[in-house]
Amino acid sequence: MKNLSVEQIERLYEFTRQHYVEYYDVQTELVDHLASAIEKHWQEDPDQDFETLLQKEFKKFGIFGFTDVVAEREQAMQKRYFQLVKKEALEFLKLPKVFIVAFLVWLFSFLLLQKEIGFVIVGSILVLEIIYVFYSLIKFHKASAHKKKERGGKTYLLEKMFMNMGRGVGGFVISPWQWYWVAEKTLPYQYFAVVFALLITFSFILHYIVFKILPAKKEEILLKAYPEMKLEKV
Amino acid sequence: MSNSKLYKGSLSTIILKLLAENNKMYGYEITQKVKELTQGELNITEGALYPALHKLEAEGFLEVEMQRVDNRLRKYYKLTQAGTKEKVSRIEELERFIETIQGIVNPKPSLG
Repeated sequence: MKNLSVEQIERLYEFTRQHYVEYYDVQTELVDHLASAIEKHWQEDPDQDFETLLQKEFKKFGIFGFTDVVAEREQAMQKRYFQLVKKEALEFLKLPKVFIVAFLVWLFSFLLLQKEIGFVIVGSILVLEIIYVFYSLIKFHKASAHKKKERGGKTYLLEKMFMNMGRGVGGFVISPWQWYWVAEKTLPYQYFAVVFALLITFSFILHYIVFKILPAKKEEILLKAYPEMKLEKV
Repeated sequence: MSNSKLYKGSLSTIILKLLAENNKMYGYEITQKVKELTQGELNITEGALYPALHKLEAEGFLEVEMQRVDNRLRKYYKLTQAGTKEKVSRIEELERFIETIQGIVNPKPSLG
C-alpha cells in the first residue's frame, strides 16, 4: 500500500496552517484525517496526484473549511479549563481552606465597616491586586512564548486557554469596583460591606487559582489532555 | 441520504454506539465505518464529525489515546465509564424517538 512521505505529511501540516488552524493538536488530527483519506484513494489508484486529492478531501469539510472544527475545539477546551477552575474553587469551600475564605470575608467586611480608613486599606489592597494581575499576565505571556519556542513553534490549544482565560479572569479585578457603585446605592451599608467583602474574596481566590494553582499543574494537565506530547518527546 | 438534518441530532449517539462496539477508533475510521454500515446511505461529513467528537470529549464521555502510525500521529477515541452509561441512555432515547416517528408516519389502525 502506498503511504504518504514525510514531506507530504509536512505539506499537510502547512496546509492546515494556511487554512487558519493555529493549534498543533487540531492540526495533527486533521493531518491524519487527510492522510488516511488520500491513502484510501491510492488504494484504488496509486497514480492519483497528491495535491488534487488533498483539495478534493478538503472540500468535504464544507464551505467553512476547518473553521467549525477549530471553533468547536476551542469551546470544548474552554469548557475543560472552566471545569479545572471550578474543581479548584470548590476546594476553597472545604476544610481547611474554607477558614481562609471566612477570615478574608470577615477581614474585608470589618475594614469596610470602619469607613474612611478601612476604605483606604481595602482600596490599596485592590490596587496591589491589579498590579499583581498585570505582573502575572506579563509573566504568563513570556513563559508561553518561551515554551512555544522550545516546542518548535507548536501551540497547544489548552495552553493558549491558560493565557486567554488569565486575561478574562484578570478583568474580574475590576468587577468589585463596578458593583461598588450599584451596591452602595441600593443596600444598607452593613449589607453592602459584606457583599463587597464577598466579591473581593471571590476575585482573590479566582486569581490565585488562575495565576498560581493551575500554572503550577500546567504540564501535568497538558500531558493528560495531550498524550501526544509524550510521543513527541520520545 | 440528502437530508442531513434528519440525522444531525443522532450523530453523537452513532459515535457512542460505534465506539462501544469497536473499543477505539479514529476520526476517518468512523466516517468510513458509518458509510460501510449504511451502504453509503449515511454520509457523515467531516465538518460535523470532529466538532461532535470534541464536544463528547469535553463532556467527559470520551478519552483519547495517541499512537504513531507510519510517519504521523493518530488520535484514537475511546469511551470513558461515563460515556458507556451515556451510550445506553442515548440509545434508549433514540429508540423511543424512532418509535414515536413511526407512530406518526405509519400509524397503526385503531380498533375503536
